[in-house]
This record gives sequence, C-alpha cells and structure tokens, in this order.
Amino acid sequence: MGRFLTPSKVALLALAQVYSKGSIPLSGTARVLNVLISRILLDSKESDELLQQQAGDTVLDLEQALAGQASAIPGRTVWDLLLKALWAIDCADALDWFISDTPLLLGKTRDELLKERDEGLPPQPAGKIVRTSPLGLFIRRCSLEYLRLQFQDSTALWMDFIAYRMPSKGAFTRKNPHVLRSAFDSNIADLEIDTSNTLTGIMFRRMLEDVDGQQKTYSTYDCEKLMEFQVSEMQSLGGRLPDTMKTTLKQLARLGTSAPKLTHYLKFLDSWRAGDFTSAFDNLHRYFDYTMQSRDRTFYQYALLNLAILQADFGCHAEAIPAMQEAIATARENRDTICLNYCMSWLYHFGRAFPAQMQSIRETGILGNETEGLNFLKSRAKEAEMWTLLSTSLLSEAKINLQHGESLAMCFENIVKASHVNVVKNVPNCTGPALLMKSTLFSRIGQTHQAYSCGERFLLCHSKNAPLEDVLKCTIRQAALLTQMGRVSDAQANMAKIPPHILKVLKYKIYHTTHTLILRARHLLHRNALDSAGQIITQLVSQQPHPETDTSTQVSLLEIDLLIRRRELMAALDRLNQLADKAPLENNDVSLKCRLLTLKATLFAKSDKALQGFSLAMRAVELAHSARILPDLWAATLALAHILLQSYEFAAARDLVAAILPQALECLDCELVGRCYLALADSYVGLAGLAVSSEDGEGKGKENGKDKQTQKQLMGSAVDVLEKAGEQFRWIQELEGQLEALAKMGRIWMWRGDAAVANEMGEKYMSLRKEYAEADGC
Amino acid sequence: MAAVSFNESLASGPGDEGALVVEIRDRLTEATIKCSERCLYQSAKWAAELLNSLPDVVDHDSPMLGSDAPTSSYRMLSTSYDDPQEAALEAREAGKYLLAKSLFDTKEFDRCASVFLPPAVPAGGLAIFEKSKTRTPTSTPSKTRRSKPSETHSIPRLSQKSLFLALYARYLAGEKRKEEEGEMILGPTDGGMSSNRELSGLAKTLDEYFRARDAADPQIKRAQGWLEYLYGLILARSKQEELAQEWLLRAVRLNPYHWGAWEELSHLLSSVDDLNAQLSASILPQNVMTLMYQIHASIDLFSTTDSNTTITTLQSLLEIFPTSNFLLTQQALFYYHSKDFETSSSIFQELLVNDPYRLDGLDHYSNILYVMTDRPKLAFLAHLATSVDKFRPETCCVVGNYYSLCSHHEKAVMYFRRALTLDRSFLSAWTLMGHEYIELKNTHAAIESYRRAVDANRKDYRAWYGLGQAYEVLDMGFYALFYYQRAAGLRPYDAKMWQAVGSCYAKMNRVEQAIKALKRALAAGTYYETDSPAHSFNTSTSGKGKGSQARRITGHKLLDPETLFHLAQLYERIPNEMEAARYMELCLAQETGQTSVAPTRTKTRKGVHRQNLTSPSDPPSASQHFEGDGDGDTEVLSSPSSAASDATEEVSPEHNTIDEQPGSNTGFGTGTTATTSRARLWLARYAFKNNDLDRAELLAEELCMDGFEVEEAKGLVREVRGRRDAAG
Repeated sequence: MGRFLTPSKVALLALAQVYSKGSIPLSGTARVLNVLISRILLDSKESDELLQQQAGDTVLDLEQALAGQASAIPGRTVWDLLLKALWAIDCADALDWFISDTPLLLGKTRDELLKERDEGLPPQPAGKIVRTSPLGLFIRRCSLEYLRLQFQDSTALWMDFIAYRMPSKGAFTRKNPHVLRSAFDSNIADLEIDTSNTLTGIMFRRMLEDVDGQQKTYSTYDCEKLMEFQVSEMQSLGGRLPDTMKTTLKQLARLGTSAPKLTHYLKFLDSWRAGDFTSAFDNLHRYFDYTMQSRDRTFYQYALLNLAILQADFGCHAEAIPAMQEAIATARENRDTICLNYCMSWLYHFGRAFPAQMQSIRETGILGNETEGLNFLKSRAKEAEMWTLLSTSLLSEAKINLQHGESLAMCFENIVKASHVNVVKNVPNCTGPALLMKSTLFSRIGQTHQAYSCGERFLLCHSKNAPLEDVLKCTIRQAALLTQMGRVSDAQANMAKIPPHILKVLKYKIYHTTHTLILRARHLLHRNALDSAGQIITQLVSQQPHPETDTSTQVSLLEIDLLIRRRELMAALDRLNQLADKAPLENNDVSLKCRLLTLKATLFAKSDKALQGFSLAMRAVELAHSARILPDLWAATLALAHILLQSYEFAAARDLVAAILPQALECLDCELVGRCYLALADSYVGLAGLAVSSEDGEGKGKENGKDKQTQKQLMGSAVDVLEKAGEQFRWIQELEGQLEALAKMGRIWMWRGDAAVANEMGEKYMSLRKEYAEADGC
Repeated sequence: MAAVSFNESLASGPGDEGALVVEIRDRLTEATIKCSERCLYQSAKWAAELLNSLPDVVDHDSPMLGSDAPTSSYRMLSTSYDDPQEAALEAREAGKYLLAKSLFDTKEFDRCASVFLPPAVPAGGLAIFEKSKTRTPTSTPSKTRRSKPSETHSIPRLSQKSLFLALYARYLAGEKRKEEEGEMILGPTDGGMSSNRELSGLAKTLDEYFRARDAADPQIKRAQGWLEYLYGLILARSKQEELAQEWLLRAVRLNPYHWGAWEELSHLLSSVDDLNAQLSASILPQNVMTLMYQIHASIDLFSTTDSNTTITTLQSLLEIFPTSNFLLTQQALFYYHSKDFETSSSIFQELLVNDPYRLDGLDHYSNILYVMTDRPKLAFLAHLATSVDKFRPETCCVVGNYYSLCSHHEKAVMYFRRALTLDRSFLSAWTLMGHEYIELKNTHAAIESYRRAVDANRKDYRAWYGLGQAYEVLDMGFYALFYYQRAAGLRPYDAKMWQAVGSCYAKMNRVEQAIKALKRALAAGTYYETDSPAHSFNTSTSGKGKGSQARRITGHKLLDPETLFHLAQLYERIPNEMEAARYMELCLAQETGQTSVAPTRTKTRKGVHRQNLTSPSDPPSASQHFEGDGDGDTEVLSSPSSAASDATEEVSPEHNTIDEQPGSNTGFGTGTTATTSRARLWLARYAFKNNDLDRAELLAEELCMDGFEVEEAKGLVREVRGRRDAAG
C-alpha cells in the first residue's frame, strides 16, 4: 500500500491535465471540476458512504461521471480524452514522466515571477492552475509523494495502475483501434513475448494473485482519512462499525499491507460497543502501545481517559474512578486542556449518574459541588472553545435545575443558551439533545403535546447527527408518552422501528430491551394480566442494578404497582419504604420524591387508613407545587381528593378534582384523567347521598327521596363522568378501571331502577373481563 | 597462440565433438558436485549453468548414457574415487564433514572451522598473556605468539576436502568480521582499511601444510587443487600477487573446472600484457576453460587489441555451449566495451527473456541502457529485477542507474549504498556512486567512493576518470592529470580520456602537451565507430567474426568537432594561427562529413606515417599515428582522410580504419552545430584579418543563414562591406 498515491489519484492527475489543456468547453468546466474536487477534498465529505467509494474509486466510476460530458473536440467526450491520456502511459517510465511533469501544469510561484521580472527574462510558458488552489495543492502533493516513493513502491503503483485502467480497455480500443500495443507494458510488446511468458509472470506476480480484479487499491493516506472519519463518527455518535467498513477493513487485512495504527483503535471502539470487554481492553492497549513511539505528543492521558470510560461502561466503577483521576493528573501535567476538559466533563456526568460512587471524588474536591463543577466546566469549555462541551454543560445545568425543582425560567434560559451555542458555533450534534431536554421540561410542566412534538422534531430532523444514545432515549420517551396517551399500538410500533445499527451496540440493545419490557409490563398491568406482568417484572428485577438509575426506579415502581394490584399492600409498603430510603442516595430528583409520597398516600388510602396519608399527600402537593411539576401535582392532589372522599368531605373532593381536571386533561395522561373522573364520580355520588340525608351521611346509591331533583342530577353527572372515565381507561386498556366504572354505572342504573340497563352493564362487565382474559390467555 | 590452436582442434570433426561434449559434461558435473561440497557456491553455480547450456544428448547416445549412470552416481557418492587414501579419510570423517557443511550452510563459519581444526586461540587460553608478562625479556612476546600457534597448528590428519572446508570457513569468518567492522557504508569506520585478521594465520597454516606435503609427495600427485586455490586466494588478499598467481596457476592446472580460481587469477592481471605473457608462456592448461579464462580476462581488461581472437574464440565456445548465459553475457560485454551498444543490449534482452530469474550481469545491461538513455527499457529492467529480488546488489544498481538517468541523484545514491551494504565488493556500485556524488556536488564523498572502487579493482577506468573529474572540480590539476592519465592508460582508444587529459594540460598552461593529448583524442575517436545505424550486425551467433570486419569497413569516421575546435583554440594560444585555421576548417568540414576540405594542405611526410601504419604490432588504429613522433603528427592528423585515401593500396584492409570514400559521404555530417558555427565565425574573422574579404563575407552570410551568432556575423558583414567600399 502506498502512502498517498493510488491509481485513482493518477487518473485524477490525468483529468487535471485534460482540464488544464483547455479541451473542456466552458459549459462543462463546472462539472469536471466538481468531479475533481469532490474526489480531492476528502474532508468536505459528510457521509461515509461517499468517503469509502472515494478511497476505492474505480475507473468506471469516473466513466459514469464523465462519459456524458462533451469536450471541445467534436465527437469526443471528456471521458474519451481522459482515456487517451490514461492509455498513453504505456510503461513504468511513462508513468514516471507523467507524474514528474505534472508540476508543469501549475502556475509560477511568486519568486519565479519576481525573478523573471528582475532578470528581464522572456516569460516562460507555465500552467494555469494556481499553486495554492485545492487542485494545485493536490498536484503538488502527488508529485512530492511520488518523489518520495521507493522504487518497488513506484512499480507497485504502476502495476496497480495497469489493473485499475484495465476495465476501460474495451472503451479505449473501440475509439482508438490500432494504438494499443500491450495492455500491460509496451516493453513486453517490444520483447515480442506474450503474457504467458515466465518474465511477465515474475513481473506481474502481484496482479496474477489478485484474480478477481475487483481489488480496490488504498493508500495509507486514504485509509487514515477513512479511519479518522470512522473514529470521529463512532466517538461522537457512539455507534458501531458499519458493515461496509468492516468489509473494507477485512480487505485491507487480506492485502497484507501495513494498516494504520488507528485500526486498533477502531477495533477497540467496535468491541467496546459490542460489549466484548476483553477484546476492547486488548485493542486499546495495543493501540496505545503502538502509537506511544510514533508521535511526539504523549497520549497517556488519552489512554487513561479511554480506559476509565471503558471500565465504567463495563461496570468497574471502582477502577474507573482512579483511572480517571490519574488521567486528570496527567492531562494537567501535560497542559492538555482539551483532554482535561473531557475528563472533567465525564467525571461530572459520571457523578450525576452514580452519585454513590463519587464519594472519593467529592472528598478530594476536584469538581466542588455540582453547580460549581458545572460552572467550572462551562468556563473551561468557553476558554478552550469546545462548543460541544459548552452546550452539553448548559443542558446539564438545565437538567440539574429541573431535578432540584428550581425556577423554570432558569431552565429555559439554559436551554436557550445551549441552542444559541449550537446555532452560532455550528454544533449540529447537540441540537437533538437540546430538544430532548426541552421535551422533558415540557412534560414536567404538563405540556405533553409540546413535549411530544419536541421529540418528534428531534427524531425527524436531527437524529442523523445526534448521538445514538439520545436517539434511542428519545424514541423510548416518545413511546412512553404514546402509551400514556393511550396509543399503545403506536408506541409498540415506535419501539420496533428503531434503526438496527443502534441496536448493534450491546449497551443500547440492553437498554432498549429493558424499556420494551417495562412498557410491556405496564401494559400487562393495565390489562390486569398480573401473572405475565409478574413474570416480566421479576425478570427486570433480577437484572438489577440497571446501568441507569432511572430504569431501576421505574422497575421498582412497577413492582410496587404489581403488589398493589395483587392487593399485597403490606409488601408494597415495604418495597416503597425501601425505595424511599435508597432514592436520595441514587437519584435526588424532586419528581421521584413527589411520586413516592403520592404513592404512599394512595397506599394508605387503599388500606382504609386515609388519614395517615393526609400529611404525606399534603407534602407531596406542596413539593410538586413548589417545583412546578404539574403532572405530579395533579396526581398528589388526586391522592388528597381520595383522602377527602374517604373522610366524607365530598364537596371539597369534588371542588379539588374539578379544579385540577382541566389541567390534568392537558397532561394527556389517560390513567390520571380516568382516576380523576372516578374520583369525581365518587364525589358526585357522595354528594347525592348527602343531599338526601345529610345527617346520617350514607354513601352511594341510597334513596331517601328528599331532594330528588338534585340527587338525580348528581347521579346523572356521576354516570356521565363514569362513562368518560371508562373511555379513558379503554384507551390505555386499563381493565380494572373500566370494570370499576362499569360496576359503578351498573349500581347507579340499578338505583335508578332501570334493571335492563343495569343488566346490560353487568353483561358488558362480564364480556369485557372475558375478552381481556382470552386475549391475554392467547 | 596455444589457446587458438586448441580452439581449432575443437572444430576438427563432428565425432570428436560429441566425445568432447560428453567429456565436458562429465567434468562439469564433477566440478559442480565438488564445488558445492566445498561450499564454493558461486563456482558451483557457474559450472552447473554451463553444464546445462550444453546441447541435449542426441537420442542414439541414450543407451550409452544408461551405462554411464552407475559411474556418475559413484562419483557423486565419493568424489575422491581415484585416490584411495583420501577416500578412506573422507569416509572416516563423513559425520564430521556433514556437520561442518551444515554449519557452513547456516553461515556459522567459526563453528564450522572448529569442527575440524582446533580453535585459533592457543591451547593455554588467555593464560599466555600472563606468561608473557613474567617471561624474561630475551624472548619477545611476538616470537612466542608465533611459535605457539605453529605448535597447535600442526594440522591434524584430515582429508583435503575437510581441511579446505575448515580453512575456507575460517577465511570467510574473517571476511565477515572485516565487513562488520566497517559498519555503515562510507561511515566513519568504513575506510577500507580494516583487513581480514585471519589471513596471516591461514597463510601460515597453508604454508606449513604445503611444505609438509611437498616433502612427502614431491610429484604432487595427490593434490586436488582446492587448497592451492585457497592459498592463492589468501595470498592475493594479503597483496602478495606474484606468489598468489603462482599458486592459483597451480590450482588451475590441477583442477581446471573450478571457475573461482580462474576468476581470481584474472583479478590479478593488471594489463593485457600480463595476460599475453600468461598465454604465451604456456603455463596454462590446454582446455576449454583456458579459453573461457582468456575471453573473460580480455573483456575484463577492456582489451581491444586482440578483439578478433576474442570474438572468434567466443563464437567457437558458443558452438559448444549454445545457450550459456555466461558466454552470452561475455559477448554482450564485449560489444559494450567496443561501444556497440545496440548489439550488446539486444543480446542482454535475449538473455532476459530466456532466463528472467537470472540477475547476474544485469547491472552491465543497465549501464548500457543508461548510455543509450533508454529510459523505458531501463525502467522495465528495474521493475523486473525488483520483482525477482529487490535485495540483490545487481538490482540495486539497476534501480540506481534508472534514478540517475531520471536525475534523481539522491535516490540513486541511496540505491547504490544499498547495493554496497549488500556486498561491499560490488565494484560497479562504488564507481556509480562516485558519479552520483559528483552530480550532487559532494566531491569528497565522490573521491572516496571512487577510491574504494579503484582499491577494489585497479582496472576500472571509469573510477580513475571519475577521480580525475573530482579533482578537476576541486581545481587540483596535477591530481586530476594523474588520474586521467591512469584512465587513458587503461583505455588508450577512448577519446574521452584523452580529451580530459588535454583539457587538464590546457588548464595548466601546458599547451604543447595538451595539443598532443587532444590529437590522440581525435585519433581515438575515429577508432570507435560512433554511429552504425545500418550495419549493427545481428546479435545471433552466426556472425562468427565476419560482422566485426564488416562493421569496420563500412563505418564512416567523423572527427569530433569539439575536439577540433579546442585544438584550434590551443594553437591560437601558442600562437600558431596557421594550424589554428586549419583545425577550424576541419571542424567546419565535419558539418557535411567531408574530411578533405582543406585543399591547401601539404601532403608531405606521408611516408612517415605509412611506416607507422605498417608496423605489425600496432593496434589497427589511426591513433597510432600520433604516438611517438612529435613532428609528423600534425601533418597526419590534419589530413587523415587524404592519408587514408592514399593508403588504401598500401595498408592492409584490416588496418584501414578510415573511410575509403572520402568527401563523398555527405550523409554522415554532424550538421550545423553551435561549435561549428563558432568555428565558422572564427574563420570569418580570420579571413577578414587576412584580407580574404570574399571568403569572410561568404562565411558570415552562411552564419546569418544558420541562425547562430547572427549579430556578430551581421557586424562582420557590415565591416567587410565597409572595408570593400573603402578599398573600392
């Protein structure tokens, strides 16, 4: 493998020659230049597909690009001219001449011009291509690289060139019938021997080995470019090697040429993502062992950084942290700001994810407390002009604000700041995360439709540049939102349509599976298929601890839900207490605290000890109110209403529920709304009872016939509300809720004396139950 | 000459020839086996190659061949079949021998030697140093050191084969160490000074051995020739050339099919005279190998005097070995040295196709292509050689030559260095590297590498010439002159050498000598045919010497206008305007190829040079005219063509190197060149000065027409007209 020159580059040189000879009409110049430049400037490429194609460009690709372009010579296309130039190189020496002469295409340097002027020489003819243009640079680089070639490398280039242009032989001989003497080397024709001679066998051994002829030739330069691109892709997006790249790498290995050292790093990244810890570890060490000598910059801190990340990813937190601390120390020593900032940022995020592990870090005080750490990161990022880091730091700050339940305005401010940085400094891979953050924020303030649209925008417009992890998280969020809205099948479809390349990363695959299971378990719980749900939940619990604390919490909540539905309230309470004890250590999110309090209050309410839960519910309401977590606020308020209902404060309960219902509807949370409606119905029925005999305080369905009108009215609204509740529950396929609503409706109809309708309700009840049981039995 | 007579005997009859071939086949087989038994790989290769170039045995011989088979296999098993004593010894040592041979093959030379011989360290080990300190001052340490080894060196009773292998291994070990001491090519420790430390010990051992053996076996019946060769080799390496030659001759007589000995012998020759002395003294054996040697040596010496003999011998040898790569290479080299590049390169090309894996001698081919500036072919050759083996000195030389031709001198130097790293004794690489250093203006490095080349082989005229050039660049005229003279001594018929000598003299203001040298250059220039487009005779072996004669007759000689111009300038410096004018005229005449333009010339003294021409020992060259008689030379040179035209009836055809149809051959002129134009301008001025206004005007107008020196010419025309007007 040559360092830089490949046959396709020689062909580009030939095209440059054709171009500079002026045999391309003005109209076609742009197209030809486009062909040239798109193949010369690899850095401008965005998609790796193009890049790969570039590295192993065949002559036929050029034909495709140029065959239609007419040249200044009538009847000949640019392709024909190029072919002529290519086939004019008929022996190794001609190739030498050709490449050595290419600098003649260039214009004169300033020095030459000055010298010419000063010495009054007649102006020498020179090329028209400006030396500093991309094309000029390319030509200069090519001729320089050619000069640096050893002889056997230049013969290798020559043989590769023969193989490269071979596919175009037919096209050339068609147009120029009697020119070609030998497709290999004119010297062979001179010797009057054919290609079966031993001599040619010796000389073109290389080509004979490569029988399929499909071999693309790569230069080290191309390879490095390709790999650098891959590495940056993999690092910024967190994916694995695409299959095309894998085959390319395999090809390189088969060529037996010295692949760049970066291959090891690529392998490291790939096996890391594949979850193959030992290979990743091995390759990482190999990469750094090989690169230690070859560059003057010391890479130790990067090695440690990668090592720490790797270990953390595989759950060896205890080893990851010291490694990272050493990385920080080394980076400081070497004044490597960029690396240092990365380390700090990682450490910060690690601390956010696993607060329990950070004891030692907090003690050394590298980062100070969370906000200090963030401020430090922000200022460093600004100094070092690391805009991605700045953007993510701002988003992190917003996230902290949210978690601590601080001012919403601050949150928005940070998000807007981050978006500003993204736009102004062109950080496309942070746009998605900013939207994701916004979506979270909106869902916290109960603007679920806004949250949903943010997520959609992310997935539609920015998923290409965003890290795969964020794409995955966003998809799962969207699915959760859809489930909450009652669009269960949509949610499932959403989960299924995650692109396969994301799922190739083991970590994401696990994350995806876990969340699919969580969604499924929730769905089954709704459908009251408790045994199946129980199975899934035990599965999920057995996988504890999950790499994400969020997931663990969700699983625990599901577990509690299951226990409640099984009416094992004591066990549920125990589990809840456990969770509450652990929560502040792992995840001091206000929202979680709020939900736990609400849940506990509900639990008390369910076990007919409503008053015990009163203060809990009050605290939850207060907390949610102060942190402006609206869905939780409504849930907490609902819990309060339940307590009020139990203590016969029907009017207060009705007022409370009626007050939150519009906002709850805004949250698009079917379950919440359904429960609200149920509570409302209860309060109506209670009020109806009170209207008849306020002194003995009987509940629902009692008939005393005092203020029949009011009573009937209230009962009517109860039925209406129950119907609505039933509808909400139907959407999310919540069996228990639907059954409850039906039963209550049946009772009301019974009370009204309309046995037929009551009977109908009863039948509905039975059939619904049967239907669900059958569906889940299948 | 003896060799020639043998040569004639070769072609006496077809029946004899068959027998001869069978005989040669047997001998060569034997030589190959024996050489490889003794790890003389190159000689073995040479013999085997030659063996396989013999024509296939005709069918009717096959039964006989079958009956031969047991004997030949017998020979294979015991190579000393004719000497029972040696055979017994060899049988006894068989195990040890096999060990030693495998050690040799794995390049563990010291260990190999120690299988048969006690190590060179004295028996007492390092204790000897302590002893020498305490010794009484009367006996010097050097003496003890000498006496001690001789005791230990009393050679154990060994077969000659084993002894040879052991000693040869020790010699090679010394060579290896010597090379390792040199470290990098042209590095600080690589001064060419380090010597093989084993040499003296080996010489002593062998000396003792031979003394003992000669005493025991005065008829030297049991000698096999191998140890003699080794002794000769060692003597040659320790610069005792006379003695070395003697021993090598002995080796060659005993074992004529050992090519290495012949090659070593040819290295010892310093001039053609040595070779002739060897041949005439009939100290060489009478067989086909002597002919090989003769060819090789005379080609190696660039000898041109006996080219006829050489070529006929070559042809007859090629009849025996029709496909011998060695002989064909020699043939190509022969044509190369006589500057017939076309023929030479076509022979090489044929060789290339026939055996593309063979790299030997390809460096010469690349030199030829270099001189012919045939870049495509040179690139092709380099490509081929690189594909065969990129780490062979030959390959590196080819690639170096290619880069040199492309003016990538740094790269060329790199490749020559590589060649030398691979093989320090690879002579041509030293010289070529010197050339490249000259191009890179690194004169000191150039001098050093030329010097190394010369040290390795004193017969390399290119290195001498290069040394001269280098010193000329440094403005050290005396040195340069010395080296140019050496080069000219080696190549007396090469105009370039004499030109260099001449210009050197001119620089040193020794005009007389400069003129002499330049005249020699002119004469030498006519000796080689510079252009032979029509009659470059076929490469095939069917030419049989006729070709060379044909070439000689048809060729048309041009005198080099540059040299003529320089000569004229020199005469102007003396000052001798008459002569100067004549040379200028002659220079002008080269434009059309007419050599008899100067009608004013006197034709006296013809007799003198005719006498010279007819002297029998002369080389067939016009150059001979200028040697010796300082008076006559001007005449002769100024009218070589007229001399020749008269000479046809007197001079034997083979001596007639000069064109037979003077003045008629207008097609061979150089055409108008810058030099001839300058000569014309000079002549015009001269004519003007001598008031030959018509001629001056004519010449000036011609100049205007040719487009050289137009301004000057116009000025001159104006002046002429002015003066004519003034006169008229």
